[in-house]
Amino acid sequence: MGIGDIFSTFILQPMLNALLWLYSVLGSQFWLAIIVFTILIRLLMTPLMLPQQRAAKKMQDLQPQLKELQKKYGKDRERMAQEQMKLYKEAGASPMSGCLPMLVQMPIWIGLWQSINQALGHQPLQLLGLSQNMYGPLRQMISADVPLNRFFLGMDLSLEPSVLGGLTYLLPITVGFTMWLQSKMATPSGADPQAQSMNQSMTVMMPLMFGFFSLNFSTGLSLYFIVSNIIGIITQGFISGWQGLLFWKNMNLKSLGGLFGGSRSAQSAGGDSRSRAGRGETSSTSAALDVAEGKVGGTGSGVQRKKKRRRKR
Amino acid sequence: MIKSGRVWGAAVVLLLLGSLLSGCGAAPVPQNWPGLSVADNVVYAISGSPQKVYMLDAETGVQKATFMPTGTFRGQLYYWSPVTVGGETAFVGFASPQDKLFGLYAFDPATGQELWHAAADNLILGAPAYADGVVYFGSSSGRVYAVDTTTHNVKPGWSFQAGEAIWGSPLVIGDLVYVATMDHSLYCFKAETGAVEWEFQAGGAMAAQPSPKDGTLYQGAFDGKVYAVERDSGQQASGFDFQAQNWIWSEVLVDGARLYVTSMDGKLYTLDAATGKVLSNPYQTQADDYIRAAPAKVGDLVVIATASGQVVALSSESGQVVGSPWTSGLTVGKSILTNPVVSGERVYVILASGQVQSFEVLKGLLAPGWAFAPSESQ
Repeated sequence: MGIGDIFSTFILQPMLNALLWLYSVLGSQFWLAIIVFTILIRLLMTPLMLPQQRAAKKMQDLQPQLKELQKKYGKDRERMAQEQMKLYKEAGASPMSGCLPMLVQMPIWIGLWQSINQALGHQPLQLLGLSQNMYGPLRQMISADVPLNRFFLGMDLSLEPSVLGGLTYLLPITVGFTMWLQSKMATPSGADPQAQSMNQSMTVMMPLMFGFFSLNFSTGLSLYFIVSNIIGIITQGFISGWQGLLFWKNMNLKSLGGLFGGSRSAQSAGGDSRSRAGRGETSSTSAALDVAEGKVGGTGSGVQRKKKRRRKR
Repeated sequence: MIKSGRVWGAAVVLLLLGSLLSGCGAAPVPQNWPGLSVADNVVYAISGSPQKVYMLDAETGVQKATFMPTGTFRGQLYYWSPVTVGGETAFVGFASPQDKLFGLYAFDPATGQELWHAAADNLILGAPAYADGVVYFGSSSGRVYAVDTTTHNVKPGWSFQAGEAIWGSPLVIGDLVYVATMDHSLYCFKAETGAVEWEFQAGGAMAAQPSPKDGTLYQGAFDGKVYAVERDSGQQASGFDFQAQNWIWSEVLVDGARLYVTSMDGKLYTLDAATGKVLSNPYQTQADDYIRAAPAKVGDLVVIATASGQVVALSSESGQVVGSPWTSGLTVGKSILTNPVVSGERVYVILASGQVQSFEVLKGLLAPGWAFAPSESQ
């Protein structure tokens, strides 16, 4: 049994058949099947997602203590990292806790993409897969309905916004926006500048990437992302509060600079990140990863390096 | 410094991965099997990369000509339908996905020289049908076309739009045209005007050309049934009933009072043409294999080609396998999804890789003959 067979047997076929069953019981509406399927997936993922969302809340709660540490050990980067790690450990928080659910969801995205392609296939090779991957009892129910109803508000769920054009371009934008909002709500505000800079990078980078995915994948997958993100926003709201939804109140366009070389606050606390950004470095993200991995660079604080450079000049 | 590089490295890798995956999502590659047909001792095979129509001598497999259109296209050109020859002209459906161009090319079957082309609104998957100076074809949008080969324009009055795609080839008998569609309907049109004579509603999508026998059309459907429909009235013939365990995608082979039907359940069924009753134990492929392609009759043998790339010959009398099944030596692209085609005592198959394999009936057995695989440079 090759990896393709394993994927097909344990990921693709169960997902495809679940979608088909939902389609058959939800009045032959595939968009409705995707929405209910997404809710079910999120329910199944709860044991993984909730700890991540609680960890984000813990990170937010730790901000005052982190600020204290910043004041206390700001000049000694090594010590600062050690103390941060200690704090995270004691509080049971992890700045990298978001990675596992993300990794676990990847086979689901791929499986869902393939399921949509097969279930809503409008070319012969796509439908071949459907005939072979349906479970016996469902085959009897579904075969007479093929080709399945693939339209939602006049939009073909099996095609990509880049092919459909028009208003469907709103889908990748919505995917990116809801993902950004979800990340924003989970991101500790007023975190230590270095970690915040990294968070800002990821908060912007991931929505951009998923927006790009959504542009070139079937709109059905975009529907999954949007519903999944909305559920994520709601659950995060219940855990961390709803103030993150008022994102425009905390909007600081300059903070977007963190994506391209560190935020202003990061510069003041962590060193001359602008000059290093030109060489492809960001001290803030570096330090945050150091902390996350329990490692430290041992090169001294950014402020010290800044001073050294000034002296050289 | 190294760690910050990691973050950006990870971001770049994710973006590259995203680009690659996105490329998969939007890839304008053929999602159909290669076309194969034979006419006037010439095998027309769609093969190679970039795709071309190869014209091969049916007896020797020697390449006689190729067809490549003269136009310039932004990306690759794909041929989605098998070639049909009629009125000393060959016809093939083409698509240039990047230009969003679809249509039908007409070319000289002797030289491969382009003659003219007609635009369509979507992919043409079924082989065009030619009769009396008109070429008929359906598109994936569900539109039925009748193009006058003299004017190269759609005949006036022909503007039929089905509710779903048309993947099968139209069947022309006399002054009537029969088209099966994915919207579960079989339509009968007047060839002259395009007016709908009747519509038969089946229980599943139909992707193949109807098979005629006397006054009846036999049509397999995705609900696993074979329908017998009276040609004159469009009514279901009484007393005929057959149900397979999976979709019937391909054409029904009519042989006298018998029908041969292949199904995605991996079986070849022999049916009584009057009742649909199964006459003998169906041939069953190995586990996980299935049969998309229609059966073919050559001599006294019924030949089937399976998705795993096996070519099996069975006695039309006993239904027993004759000789050993043939399998290609390929590991990739070995599946056979295209209908085998017959010319005299020879039968031809095309693999997903584009390799053409001929077989000949020798002493009651199916013997492999010439094989053709275009090189990349051809």
